[in-house]
Amino acid sequence: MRSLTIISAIFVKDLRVEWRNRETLAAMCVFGLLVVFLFNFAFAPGREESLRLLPGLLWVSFAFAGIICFNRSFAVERENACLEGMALAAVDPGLIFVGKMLANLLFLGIAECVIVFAASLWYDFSFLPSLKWFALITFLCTTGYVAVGTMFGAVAANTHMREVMLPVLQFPVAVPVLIAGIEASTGALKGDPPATYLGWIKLAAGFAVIFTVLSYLLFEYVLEE
Amino acid sequence: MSKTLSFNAHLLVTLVWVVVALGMVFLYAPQEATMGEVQRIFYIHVSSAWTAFVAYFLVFLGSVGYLWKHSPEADDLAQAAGEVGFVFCSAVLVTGPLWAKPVWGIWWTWDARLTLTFVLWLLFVSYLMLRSYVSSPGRTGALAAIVGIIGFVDVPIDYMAIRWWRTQHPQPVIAGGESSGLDPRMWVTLLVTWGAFLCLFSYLLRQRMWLAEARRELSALRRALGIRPSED
Amino acid sequence: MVNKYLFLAFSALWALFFLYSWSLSRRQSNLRKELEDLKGKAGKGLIAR
Repeated sequence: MRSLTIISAIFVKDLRVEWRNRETLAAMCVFGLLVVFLFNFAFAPGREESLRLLPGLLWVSFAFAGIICFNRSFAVERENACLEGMALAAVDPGLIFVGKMLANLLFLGIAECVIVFAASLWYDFSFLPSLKWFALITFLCTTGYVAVGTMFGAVAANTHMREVMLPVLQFPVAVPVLIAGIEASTGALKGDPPATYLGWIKLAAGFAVIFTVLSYLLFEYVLEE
Repeated sequence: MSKTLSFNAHLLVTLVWVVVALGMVFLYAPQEATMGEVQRIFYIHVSSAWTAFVAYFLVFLGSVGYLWKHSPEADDLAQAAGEVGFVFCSAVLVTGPLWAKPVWGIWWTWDARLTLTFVLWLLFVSYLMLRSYVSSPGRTGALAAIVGIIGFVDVPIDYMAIRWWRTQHPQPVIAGGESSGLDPRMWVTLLVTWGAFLCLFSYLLRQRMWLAEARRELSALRRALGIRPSED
Repeated sequence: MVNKYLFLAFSALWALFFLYSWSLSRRQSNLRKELEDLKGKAGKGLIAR
């Protein structure tokens, strides 16, 4: 299918650009780790408290790492007027969005793995017992977050002060997935039965679907002059 | 000019309605049993909140209208509703704590309603900031429309998420009055007050839309006369 | 004696609306002035095409 070809072309392009110097990925991981590190001074949790604080800590860290990702995602395009080039190409703009969104999802996913690994070491907390559910929750919430973030990254790229504009746009809209991620993760890590946090998972999945579709439909308006 | 007449008539109706509403708030509505006089803030607090949500819906309508029809009037509506709505939303966040402090002893609580209102306020702020910071003015309408639409779709999801979150971590709730058995006289007073606020909102909205339209006229005139924006 | 918070809440509300109305009114009159100036200059042919 032609659509899939276009999506994978954009996806592979973003991966290849990132692979050259891995700047964005490095920045995301470092920033995420720094947030987790700083929280250590804010809370210094004991083992019992770790469970209460970790999900929130992790999601704040993911949120900021994501911002770096979305900013860079379109900053690189602006450098060589790539956005204009893509707009002129006779392809469905929504497909460009999907390609970039999938690339951002991969990058943020990698950063999240690094951050979670570091957190498990630093807070002496094992994610392994609940890994399956924790991974599912994180994946769904991240997808929704990246859908909105990729779209807003494109919007913010057209503004002055884009590094400030992106979080200002992103955070209010991302509130539901942040809450869902934190609440569901807390349940999963505590070992609660999945039925107790299934509602959050459904919310996250719904959010991801709604905003991926909405952004897909609206992306052409970001590109057009 | 019929427009001036229309504006003046609207203003007059608004002023009368507001006076009537205030009269009802202080003289007609009964005093609340537990909270006393301070409870009368409820009428302006809730009226502002409902109006702010109506405003955000208009931002959404204007945004959709602009993307669909490329109509500058739709963009004017979105921009005006965003600005005036922001004022009303700010009013909610100012009157809320002033009501909370004497009743609950605390200025603020992250209960479901206040949290949602704060998110709405942030959505207004981000919408207005975006409109100010777009690099090339011709793109403002489209970019703002995208933000307006995404923000509006987000509101019901926020509502659900914040409510569930708060049922799991309960906090004191600010408005005891709304659903828990309102005296019929309170209901009437609330509706009249809300009506007054909607009248005021629509008046300010029309004035703000006039400003937007006039600005476009000014730009068009400048272009026609061959003046670049930085000159003159 | 009116409750302090009641008074503050209502005052703050009307102050907010009044401030915004004033800001709006000021922007409108600035714009009107600019439009008049521009139309005046155009009429006098002071602006080169």
